[in-house]
Amino acid sequence: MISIGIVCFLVTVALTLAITAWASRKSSSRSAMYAAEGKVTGGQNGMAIAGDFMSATTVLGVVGLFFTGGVDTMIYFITPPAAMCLILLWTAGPLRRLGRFTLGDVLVARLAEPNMRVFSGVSTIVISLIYLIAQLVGAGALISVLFGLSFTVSVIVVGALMTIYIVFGGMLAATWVQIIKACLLMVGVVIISVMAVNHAGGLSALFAQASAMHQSSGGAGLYRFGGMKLDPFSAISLTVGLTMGVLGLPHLLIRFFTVPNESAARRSMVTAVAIIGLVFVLTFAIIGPASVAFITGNHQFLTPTGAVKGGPNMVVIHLAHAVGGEVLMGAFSAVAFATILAVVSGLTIAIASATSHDVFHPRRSDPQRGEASELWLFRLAAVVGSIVAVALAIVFQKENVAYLVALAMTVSASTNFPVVILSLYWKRFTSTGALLGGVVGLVSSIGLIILSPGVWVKVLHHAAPIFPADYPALVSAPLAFLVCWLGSLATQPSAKAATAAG
Amino acid sequence: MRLLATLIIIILCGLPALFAGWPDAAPAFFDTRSGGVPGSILVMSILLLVFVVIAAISGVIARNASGPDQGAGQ
Repeated sequence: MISIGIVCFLVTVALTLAITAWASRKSSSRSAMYAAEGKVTGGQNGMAIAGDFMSATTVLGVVGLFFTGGVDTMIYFITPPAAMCLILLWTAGPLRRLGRFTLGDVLVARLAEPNMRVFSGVSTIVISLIYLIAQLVGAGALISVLFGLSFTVSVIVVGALMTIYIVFGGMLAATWVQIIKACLLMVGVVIISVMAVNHAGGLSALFAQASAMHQSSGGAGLYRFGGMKLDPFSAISLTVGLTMGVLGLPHLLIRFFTVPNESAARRSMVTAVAIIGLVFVLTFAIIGPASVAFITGNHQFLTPTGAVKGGPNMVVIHLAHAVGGEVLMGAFSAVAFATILAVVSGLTIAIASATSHDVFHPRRSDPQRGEASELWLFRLAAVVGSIVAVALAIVFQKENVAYLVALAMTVSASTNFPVVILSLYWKRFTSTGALLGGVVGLVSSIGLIILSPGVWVKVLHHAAPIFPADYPALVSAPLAFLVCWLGSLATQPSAKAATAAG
Repeated sequence: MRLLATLIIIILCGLPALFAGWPDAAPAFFDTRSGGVPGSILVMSILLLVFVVIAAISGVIARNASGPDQGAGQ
């Protein structure tokens, strides 16, 4: 098993490093490092967006959640395509029209306030860092299970690889790693679905077996809602957070700057939704039930206490082993690994570009020297961001990756989404309102997450949470909108901003 | 058209939250396996595919709402 896994992993790493070497020869300018010179086609960008979005959450975390929570997991599957349709309708075109390299460019173009660039940079770094931690937790668990390495060593290996991709290959390398990963993931999901159905003796038999195994382990009903035991507030808040969160995800939105025009940006989203829809349908309808059917009660994949070896995040890897043996397990592990590498590349780009282009925007009296120093800062930020993410992933290694992603989405929904959507569509929106609303959204979402059961009780080991729900977007996002509105009404748009708003 | 499409998307997107938050409100059909496929799996899979169709339609709506392509910020 280990030899097959090692071969698959090495092939994946060699392929991605070859792409990076090729991309590094074409990525000498700032435009190339940040946005692949805007030369990516709509179809390619759609595949890259799908590759960028379908993360360790999709491949590892959500199947693990289905295994324990049943069809309630549908919230995680339905919200991303819905949010992407909303991006297509409302933000893809305007973002492409106003932006150049980062979300900070869009906000400065619309609100004519340099401080917006710093705010946008900080929020991008925070959101992307939480998301990155989730991916690294998934990667660490995967490599640990497959090779018997410690979690820490596994995470460091992934962190080193993602740093190499971005420091040398920039956005072009990330784009092609994401495109290849999207293709691999589609093929992998189709193969594992077909083999699972075949292994069960047909689709009906698969569903019947899953239901029987779930009930034999004391479950109330696999296909009945309520398995995740979400109260109404948490269910709605999670949905709001995931939907609005996708609309504000920086590493997703900056992909629109890699295409030449608005039409290509919109075409990207149609392609992305089609690919994500196919993968999600198969994952929800077949891989989820199959994991219950073949892993529940199977002592090969369970610890003596009855828990899944490697944790719930590893359920899909065990499923590949159960239906396709060591070959499929090795191959699918490599697909999952490629998935993680692609997503962490996109996230590292978002962090590095926000740091170099927005937070430490160099004053360029000499444009050539300014661009060179910004590129140097971009590479330094990629290295530092990776080190911080690896350290935090080690701290949060016991968390479910889907839960961690939901937290990143909550911050995104409360910070980036209100500011971006209002700046694009409300002419009366002012930079003061944007800054106040964004900061309140950022602080309230992070504060409520810390006070929630998931962190306050599970991580910080207090007896009871101060905020009762794990997903606070239903409170923090409307609060951010309210403060944006009040702050804008209390101030006047600058003359430049009024001109920019048309 | 954009507002109508947005409203439809929000309603469809809210269905799983509604059923997860109020499991008793979910139709009994969801827990049965007519023809071998559980109702919840069938309905939600169709819902996912509907979003692919909505995306294609949304592309046309967004193009009409935005007017002619205004180029890029680069």
